[in-house]
Amino acid sequence: MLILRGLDVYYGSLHILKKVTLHVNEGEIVAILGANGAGKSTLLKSIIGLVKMASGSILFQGREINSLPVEKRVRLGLSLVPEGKGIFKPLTVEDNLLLGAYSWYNFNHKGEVKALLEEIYGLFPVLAEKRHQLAGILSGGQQQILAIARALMAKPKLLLLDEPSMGIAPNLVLEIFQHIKKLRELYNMSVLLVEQNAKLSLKISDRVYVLETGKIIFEGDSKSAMENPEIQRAYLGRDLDREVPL
Amino acid sequence: MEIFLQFFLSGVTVGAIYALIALGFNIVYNTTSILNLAQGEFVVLGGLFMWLFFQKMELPYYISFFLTLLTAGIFAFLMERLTIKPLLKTGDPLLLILITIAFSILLKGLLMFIFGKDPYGYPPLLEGMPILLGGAVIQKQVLVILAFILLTMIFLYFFFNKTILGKAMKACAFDQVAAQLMGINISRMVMLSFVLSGIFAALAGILITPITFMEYDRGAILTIKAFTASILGGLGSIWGAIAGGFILGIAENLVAGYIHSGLKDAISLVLLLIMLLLKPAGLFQKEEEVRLKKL
Repeated sequence: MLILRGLDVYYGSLHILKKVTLHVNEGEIVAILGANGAGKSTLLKSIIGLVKMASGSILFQGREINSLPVEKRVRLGLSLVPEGKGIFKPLTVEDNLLLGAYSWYNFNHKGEVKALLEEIYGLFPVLAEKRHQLAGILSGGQQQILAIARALMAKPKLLLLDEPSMGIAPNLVLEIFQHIKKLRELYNMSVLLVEQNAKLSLKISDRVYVLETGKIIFEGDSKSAMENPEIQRAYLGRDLDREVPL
Repeated sequence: MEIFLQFFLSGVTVGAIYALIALGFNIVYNTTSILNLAQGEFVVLGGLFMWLFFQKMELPYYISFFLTLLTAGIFAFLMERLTIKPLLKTGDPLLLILITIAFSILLKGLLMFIFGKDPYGYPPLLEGMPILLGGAVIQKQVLVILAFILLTMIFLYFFFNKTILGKAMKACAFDQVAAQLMGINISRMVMLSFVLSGIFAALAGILITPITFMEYDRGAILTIKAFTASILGGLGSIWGAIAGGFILGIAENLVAGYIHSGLKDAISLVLLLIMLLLKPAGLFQKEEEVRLKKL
């Protein structure tokens, strides 16, 4: 479904991603682990087209999308929930959700949009409650749910999630991850997930890549990764457990 | 009392015009967070081209009307594609605002080149004797202007709050990156906002020329007045722009009538300064609301 080959990205003279090669299969949840500054967010941004790459290729459903602008990639079925959510705070919750469907919204699809909206409200009752309120007054966790729900309104084939647990109370994090898992089953979409919370992302993902200073240094299925001593030491150490009480 | 009523009604007339131009300001601001300071020149363009089609070429009123709006739309389209689009990526609002000033000078020169320096006018849509209202006179054209403002308001309210395109334009103003992630083509939204605001400015020009005449260099002062009206009501607010326009128009005429006519233009700048110092969010917008818009 998604294949990256030899992706190189620079910020000025800084080499951020170095020949990154990875793939996501249909219906798969893939997690990318890595420390701060490893290039995880940059990786997602270059897949959606917010960051220009220097070399390499991105294939999405067999089609090369290297030179497509962001809005065309969204139309093809890629959807990114950015770090910091990117909620339109002066608009209502419902307007935020409707804009999520912008890429396929037109007069012929009005009924379909309405139906999907109700479905989303069914999944996330907290949004239904606040549908006519300004998105800016939602709590951090509710805004994160809104951001994910809005991305779903685009009917994505591949959902890119950048730090969905950031700035959220730990008990909510678990809830959001359960949602992600449920959504994968409901819509048979693939998920590419970037997350600091290594333990949780290993738990819900099928496969995992580890990114270190712009290079992929490990690739494998999540279960074996959990038992890998290297990964245990670097990402699942006791100190990390103490930081994230889950 | 009669004289007060007269000043007041003259104020309503001018205020209606300021309101219409200020609406155009807000369309661009709501989409891009920048100001199109060539707005006044588009008003002039509207008045002068209407004269060209209606008086000189003797086309029927309605055809001239639509041809003028079309011309303004094309000019605004070219303006955005040639000057704003190439620089939009810099994301520097100050640079973009300066570009609109440069374009306004260019447009003014072009209009002088085509039409010369004479003032032009043509008969209003509603002819006949002015209406007497409690001893004060009000021109029939003013009623036409008020009707158009009402239509414009309804259109803009519907557009920005009920259509996905209008909501997408608002989303662009708040966060361009997030708007892109929704699949919104930013450049197209910016273009659309410039075209819409150019058309509304030209509409204002068409409506006021029968009352005040129009000449090539009226743009700058109209831009300042409309800007003051927008600030008074709160930049970005449709209702604020309308209210601000009327407040400014009435204040101007009361000051000119009771104190000195030389102060007519000064009052606008004084109000602008007071507002920016004391309540930059505008009379009708809450500070918190504005802060919500900015992050």
